[in-house]
Amino acid sequence: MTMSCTENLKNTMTHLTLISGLPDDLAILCLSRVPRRYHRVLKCVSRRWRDLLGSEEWHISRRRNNTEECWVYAVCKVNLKEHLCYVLDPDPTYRNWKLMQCMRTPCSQNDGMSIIALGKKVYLLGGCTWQEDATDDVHCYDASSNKWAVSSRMPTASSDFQKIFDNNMCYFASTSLNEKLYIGSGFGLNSKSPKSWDIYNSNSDSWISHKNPLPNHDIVKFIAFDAKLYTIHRSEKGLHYAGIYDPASATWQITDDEIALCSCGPTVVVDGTLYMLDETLGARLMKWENAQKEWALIGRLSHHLIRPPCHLVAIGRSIYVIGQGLSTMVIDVDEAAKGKGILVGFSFSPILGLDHNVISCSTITI
Amino acid sequence: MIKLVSGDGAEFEVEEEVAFQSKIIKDIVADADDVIPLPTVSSKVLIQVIEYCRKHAAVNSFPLSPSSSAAAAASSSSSISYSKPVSDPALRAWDNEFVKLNNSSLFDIVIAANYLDIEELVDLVLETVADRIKGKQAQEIRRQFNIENDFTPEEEEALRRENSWAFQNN
Repeated sequence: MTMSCTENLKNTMTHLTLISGLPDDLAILCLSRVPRRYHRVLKCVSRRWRDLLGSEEWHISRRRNNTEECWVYAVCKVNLKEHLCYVLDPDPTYRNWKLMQCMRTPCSQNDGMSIIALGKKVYLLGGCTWQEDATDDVHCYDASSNKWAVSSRMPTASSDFQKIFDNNMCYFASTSLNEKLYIGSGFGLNSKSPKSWDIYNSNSDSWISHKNPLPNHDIVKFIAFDAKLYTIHRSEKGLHYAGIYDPASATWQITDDEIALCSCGPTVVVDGTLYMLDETLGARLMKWENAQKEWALIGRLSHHLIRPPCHLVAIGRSIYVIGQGLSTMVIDVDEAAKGKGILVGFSFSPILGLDHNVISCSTITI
Repeated sequence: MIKLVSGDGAEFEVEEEVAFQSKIIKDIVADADDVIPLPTVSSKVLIQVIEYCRKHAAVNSFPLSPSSSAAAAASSSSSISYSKPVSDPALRAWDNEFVKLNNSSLFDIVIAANYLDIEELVDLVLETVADRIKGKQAQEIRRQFNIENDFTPEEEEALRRENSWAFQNN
């Protein structure tokens, strides 16, 4: 097959630009307006398009043009043996859970993993199997490239395996703040330093240990809120108290105010305000009044719609309550604040077996 | 009146409010004279850009004109936002007609609009092109935008497998 000079030139040009006839800066502006659900198709167009969609430039363009979209990722334990991952595009037209076939987790045999999102990645930390002790493995799923990778191992092998046996006590708590992961406590057989934290920096893919003046063994929950870290502890007498760590000043403080009650259910932060779904008496959505240091009732959730125990994530001003079997309800916090009774919102349930035990939910914005 | 000169030497006299849809021209006129050479813009494209600016200048300067509010009321009975010219349904309909062009004509317009800093026109064209990509399969996108498939068959198969879930219910 022969090619004319102009055709040759044209082909060279198409290699150089994303869209021939359009400068790349305008082409990127244009492509970044295409909704996220089509990005997988865009990656199949050409090498240049595939490389663009995995690049930092792409994320910056999406952010700058206000076209970023937040999706919810849920990890379910199915039939007590395998982990399956589901994704939810919150766009009302497409709002349904979809199985991610590519995300059969590499550590799908493990129990007691801690799962947490940071940046464009979901991290699966630690866990153990029936045969083996707690592991220090860290796997991460990159939503941008749709690939799994192995990250640096944790300094301390961790598992919240004990949780299953011991009245929902969680020995391995983690949270994220300012591009770092914080691992509160490592309950593992080879745990070396019980009074330390492990802090993971995603930029350098490295861990550091941090001395912790508070006891570590009784941490039941770990949350990031108001640019600070809160550890919720349960003392031997069953009393709850909270430790507050300010990363800016690296200082510690103990408080006995009601914030420690946030261990009564899942929590989520919406625009700097902490919400909790108190699951001790039915399911009540509570809001933390930081000035009064108390929890205020927003409304009750009908358990006909959502099967507890639930997980919470926030997208914009909406809270997504995700129950067992991925039953989901979307609550607008501003609408919810107007009434005081039963919470109303859009709800839906995928047709899944009751064996879908949701173990974690997180969001990734691209 | 302001005189715009295209790259191929054609001159166009336009009213200030039309030319000032371009922020660049507004800045140039503020500290220079009224003849503005636009060497990178062809007369064909400049005619289209002026047409767009003329329409938008007219609507923007008379946001409460009886014709546009009547049109707004007629096309949407619940419409109460007459004061917002951008959401004027009549203007939107006009815009939709305006962008019924092939890709390469749209690219020429958006390059000129970007150069002249006419934000609304850049947005309009990019949105239109993005709409032509949404929901299409990779093969169709390649054909439409004259993009060569430079993946090896093995890479393509790997991409298909990796993305198989994306095609489940779409």
